[in-house]
Amino acid sequence: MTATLIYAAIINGILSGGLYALLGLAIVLIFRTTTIANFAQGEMGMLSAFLLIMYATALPLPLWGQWLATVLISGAVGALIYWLILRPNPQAEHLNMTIRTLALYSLIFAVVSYRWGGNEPYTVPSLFPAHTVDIGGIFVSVEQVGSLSVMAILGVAFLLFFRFTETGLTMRAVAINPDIAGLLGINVGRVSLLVWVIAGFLGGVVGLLVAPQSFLDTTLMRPYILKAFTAAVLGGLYSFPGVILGGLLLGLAESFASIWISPHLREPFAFLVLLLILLVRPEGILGTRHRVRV
Amino acid sequence: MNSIKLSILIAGSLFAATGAFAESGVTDDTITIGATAAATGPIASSCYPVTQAAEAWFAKINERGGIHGRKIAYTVLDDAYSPQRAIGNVRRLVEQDDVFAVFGGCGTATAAAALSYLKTKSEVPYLFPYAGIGELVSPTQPSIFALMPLYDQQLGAILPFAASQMEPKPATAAMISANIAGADAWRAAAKSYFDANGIKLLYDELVEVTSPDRTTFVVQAKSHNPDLLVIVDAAPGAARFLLDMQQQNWKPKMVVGASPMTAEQFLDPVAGAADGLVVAAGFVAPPTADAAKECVDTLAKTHPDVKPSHYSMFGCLGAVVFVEALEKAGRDLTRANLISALESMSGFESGISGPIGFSPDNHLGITSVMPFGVEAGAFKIVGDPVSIK
Repeated sequence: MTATLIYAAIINGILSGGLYALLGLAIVLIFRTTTIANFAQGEMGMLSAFLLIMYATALPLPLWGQWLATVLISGAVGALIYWLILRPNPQAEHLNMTIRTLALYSLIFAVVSYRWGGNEPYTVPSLFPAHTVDIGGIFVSVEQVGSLSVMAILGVAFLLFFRFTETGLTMRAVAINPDIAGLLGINVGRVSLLVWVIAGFLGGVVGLLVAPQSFLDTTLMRPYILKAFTAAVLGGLYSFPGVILGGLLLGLAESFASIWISPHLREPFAFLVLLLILLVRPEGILGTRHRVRV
Repeated sequence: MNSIKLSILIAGSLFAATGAFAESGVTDDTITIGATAAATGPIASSCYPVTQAAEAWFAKINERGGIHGRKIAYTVLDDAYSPQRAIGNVRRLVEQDDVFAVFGGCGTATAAAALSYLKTKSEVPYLFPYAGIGELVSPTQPSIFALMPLYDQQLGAILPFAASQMEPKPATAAMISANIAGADAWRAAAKSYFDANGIKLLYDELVEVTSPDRTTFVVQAKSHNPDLLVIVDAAPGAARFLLDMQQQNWKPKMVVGASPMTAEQFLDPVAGAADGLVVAAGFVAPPTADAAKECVDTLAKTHPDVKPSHYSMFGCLGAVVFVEALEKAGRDLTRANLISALESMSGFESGISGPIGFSPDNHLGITSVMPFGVEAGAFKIVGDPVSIK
């Protein structure tokens, strides 16, 4: 394997892994605070990409302004999802809540397919120019560098937010025990709403980063959502740094497998890694064992 | 005896009252046909215009009174490029909707799936899908007809042309193929050409049509630095290759492709990245050609939101040929008469393709391809028609 291929594998692996990590962060955020597995996280990103090209690009704003508007709208969509679908009957069983997200997944797909599926796939403008940068003989596109930068900034901002802000501390308290958090005066409902707003933001950002690279169609996020869950499990379902690490490791593992061994091993290798981690360390790389008093 | 006569009288009256015609999908005033097509999914932008253009042409014919007093009713079911759904769709069209013929549609994988079912219903005509699989025409099936040259035939014709345009001649090649039915045939055809002409095949891989990842293949192919790159993939996937090649700052001496790379769904996303680089096998006039005007205007009338493309031109071509066959079959329309009409078609000038002809031994209508190149972001026919084998 030449140095060029190694560097290409690293760059592609970090790019993919960063996307899995961002999406995984949204999944872990919702799971930690509400114990709901949000299977619609990917479709929320897909919807954001469609909102960009169908509506936001008509706004009298520069492209970065249209992107920002779309991300903000994505947060609002997250809030709407919480208000209409998750907030009613909050005492329902976890299975009930999880199936609501599965139904939402199908609903978003069906609506978008009906409305815009006929002319897919679409070309989505990238926020970054289509130039290539030569770094020591390795060619990296400005789009790749830009996407990596966005992912890195968001990831760090996310971790700092939860570690050092009062709102982040409040969310962590709700994640540990929502009943006690409520008794301590924390508005659990408002925290849950904020969680879904942030999940909407993250899904929107991932959708807008993926769509220019892949062309936009209604199945855009399907390869990513499973990997995002894998990243979340790899890192430990309760650890934010863990899901970031899990995502990056997953991206690098499948990138090296596809370039070094065979492109057809990309998908199976990723899940092989997942199986191994679950067998050897089921709590994930940075997760801790959770014991429940009975 | 009186009761028997009465029964016959009643049966005859019922027959007359329904206006029933002896053939499935044909009544006094309607010919019902159907299709399974990717109206949604990863290749919808390519495939759906095939059926939309055919719908538009049929609407135009219906406005003029139809064929021998019968209008064409065209039912299109969405398969989202899923072979399983395609089988379900054709089963429904044949067994529930009782169509006269399965017409058109698009997608090699789904056509292969539809074919697997329709082979068991040999009386039902299956006509002109946009699909490059050999099983459609080899061996010749009584009621299955194709227009689109197979991908192995396209490559067999376009590779020698492409090589003749290169100086010096290519010494090495790489090939990336969609992992769909028929891939073995076109890969074998390409390898046969390479072996016969001393071109070393350095890289040969299959890629999933529905997978968004092309970067891995581009990185691997680039590492071999071939003179010639052959791509047989759906239009969006082929466009993805070109864009990833641009990102990787890699430009082989020539990129050779099959008919999906003569489509606007390939050209529009790649913009200038294909200029002077791509040669592909086309078999229907581009929508910008003068001869294409009637098809383009007809499409605009019923589907103004659909951009004319190679695929819509193919859909129009299929409809034109089908209508011609219906005319020839006459008022006494049966599946057998339709098949006879098609098999007797020789040198039919559609105006938007080479001459079209069928025979009892040959059910593939088009016998030559046109070499398409890209200049200043637009398609251009860069050579004389090349006969296919």
